[in-house]
Amino acid sequence: MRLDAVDLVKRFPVRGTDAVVHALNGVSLSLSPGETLGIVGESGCGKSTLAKVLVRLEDPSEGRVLLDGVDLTALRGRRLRAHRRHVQMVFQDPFSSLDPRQPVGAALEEVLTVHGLRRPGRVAQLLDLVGLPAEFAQRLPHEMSGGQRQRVGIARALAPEPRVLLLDEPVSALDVSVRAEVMNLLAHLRTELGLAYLFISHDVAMVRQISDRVAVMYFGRIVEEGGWREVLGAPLHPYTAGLRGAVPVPDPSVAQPLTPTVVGEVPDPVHPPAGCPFHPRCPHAEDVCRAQLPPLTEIRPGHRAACHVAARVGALPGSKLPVR
Amino acid sequence: MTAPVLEVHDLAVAAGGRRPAEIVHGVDLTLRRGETVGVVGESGSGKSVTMLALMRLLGDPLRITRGSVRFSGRDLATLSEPEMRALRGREIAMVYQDPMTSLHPLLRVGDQVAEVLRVHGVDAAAARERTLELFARVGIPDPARTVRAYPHEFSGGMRQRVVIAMALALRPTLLIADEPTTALDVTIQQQILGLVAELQRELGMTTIWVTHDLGVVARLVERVVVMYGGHVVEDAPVREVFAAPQHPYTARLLASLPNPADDARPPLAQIPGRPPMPTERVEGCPFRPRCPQARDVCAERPPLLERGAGRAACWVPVEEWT
Repeated sequence: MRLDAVDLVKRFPVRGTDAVVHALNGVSLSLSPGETLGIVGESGCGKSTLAKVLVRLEDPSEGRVLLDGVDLTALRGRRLRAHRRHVQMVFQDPFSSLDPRQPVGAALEEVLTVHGLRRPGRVAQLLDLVGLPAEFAQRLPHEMSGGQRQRVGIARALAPEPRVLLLDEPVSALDVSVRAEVMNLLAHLRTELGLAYLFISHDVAMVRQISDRVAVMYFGRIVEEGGWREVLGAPLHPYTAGLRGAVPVPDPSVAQPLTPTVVGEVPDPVHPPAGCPFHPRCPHAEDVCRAQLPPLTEIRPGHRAACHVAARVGALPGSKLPVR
Repeated sequence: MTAPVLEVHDLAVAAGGRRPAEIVHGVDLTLRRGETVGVVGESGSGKSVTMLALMRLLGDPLRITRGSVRFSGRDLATLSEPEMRALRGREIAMVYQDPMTSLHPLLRVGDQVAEVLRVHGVDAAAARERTLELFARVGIPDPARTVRAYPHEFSGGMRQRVVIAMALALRPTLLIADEPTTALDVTIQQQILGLVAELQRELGMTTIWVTHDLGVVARLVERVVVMYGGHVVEDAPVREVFAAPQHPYTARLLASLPNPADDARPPLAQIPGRPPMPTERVEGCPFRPRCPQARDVCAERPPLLERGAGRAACWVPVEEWT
């Protein structure tokens, strides 16, 4: 099953004013069957809004979400439910997405009932799928560790037998050692069930660990997109390069000065800068960057970036790479 | 060798009234002047409780059940509450994960920094002047205007800069930073880490950096104290900890991190089982139920033993690890 987002725009009114904020400002992406697309970005970049729009927890202001070519944004009621079943979401905080008084088994039964998928033994099967014993059906959320709760969150997302999982910061609230086991579980399930993932995270290391392709978001737009090795190993956009450089390397023998690789802060979304939204923080900004919004263009095969300078020189601005 | 700024010995904390459950089980921690130490551990390891205990800031139902804390030669248990209050802020400053722990939402940020100075005897005009300097020093743009802002008008990163300005206003001897960048974006975290490292050098401050983030530890500290289940399990120079961990927990924890240089992206190493609940009693070594190296001797709790360039609470030397 193929998921496409076409020119998604999501505007939010600013309370008490007639201003609007563009949480998404023309985002297009496609996810092929079985593929994992990592979406990485910092707070306010629009990555969580994107997930909500893709599962129709929010309606887009403009643009379309297509599942195998069917426009989900045009569907209502039963037909929407039938399609929505194929795209499920896993949230960051497994606790907040579970009813504190409902045993795990009952929570799973409920999802199965809604989708008409109840059958004997299915709850135990779902628990087994995420590596939990059948007895866990009796547990309440507070009787489980963070890792176990996230396993339940994943089981619940799998209950409707989706083809696509949208994972919104699925391991960000977990301890380092627990994070490893949930990441491994996700990798295993992907192969086992042939799922496609949209893996949304601020954590560059986790995105790198699991993604086939990576899209970097900044200020409501995708600013770079391509294979994980290319985007994270040889980025073209100065923001991606700076973001990567800001992640503290967990090895003291690797030299990494604490000089900021991205200066300043994200601009005020009510008063967005003209031109490229990254230009106020970009060391390579030129006049054109202050005047014109750079389109997301293919600069190398399968590797796109929204940067005037990168598009002109065919490489990361300021890098020593030979100009092609 | 300079005298220690801070000497924590056998500090234990328990929760609850009639049948108190011990959650921090006798922590030893020594900091020399100017040293930066990272206290690392996962949730429930006791790292934050230990910091609150040594500042005498534990709230009900937690209390110190044994041990001593000496700061600049003074036994903190013998100080009165007013003496302790004077010490906090002036000599020991704290920065928390959520800047709003330290900021009043309805007061102008500049006034809050100036207030810290005034409480400690600086006159109003000098405090205003010094606040402007501090704002500039911590990288808050346009101090003359921004001192008049309220916390909600600031981003998370800017608020944390205000808290740092407040913490450093009185040039404290010791800074305790408890996950101060955890809630921030990574690019802002990098800016704040750089700022604190600079200020630390400038002021010759001794710093305890409490974090779960091994990347931050690798970048910032000289020595690492690893906590697990309310115990210190390893204490060693940062390079040794990463290159040759002496405690199996430290080794497993480091192994569970993805290697950013490995394009094969193998599955992440897991630690089987789960850490003990804070109030759970584990006989012997707290890591024993999950430890691949565990033997009979581990039924007895190991003290911190000299191991490599530091100390580790493990009976089994690395050479005997399987």
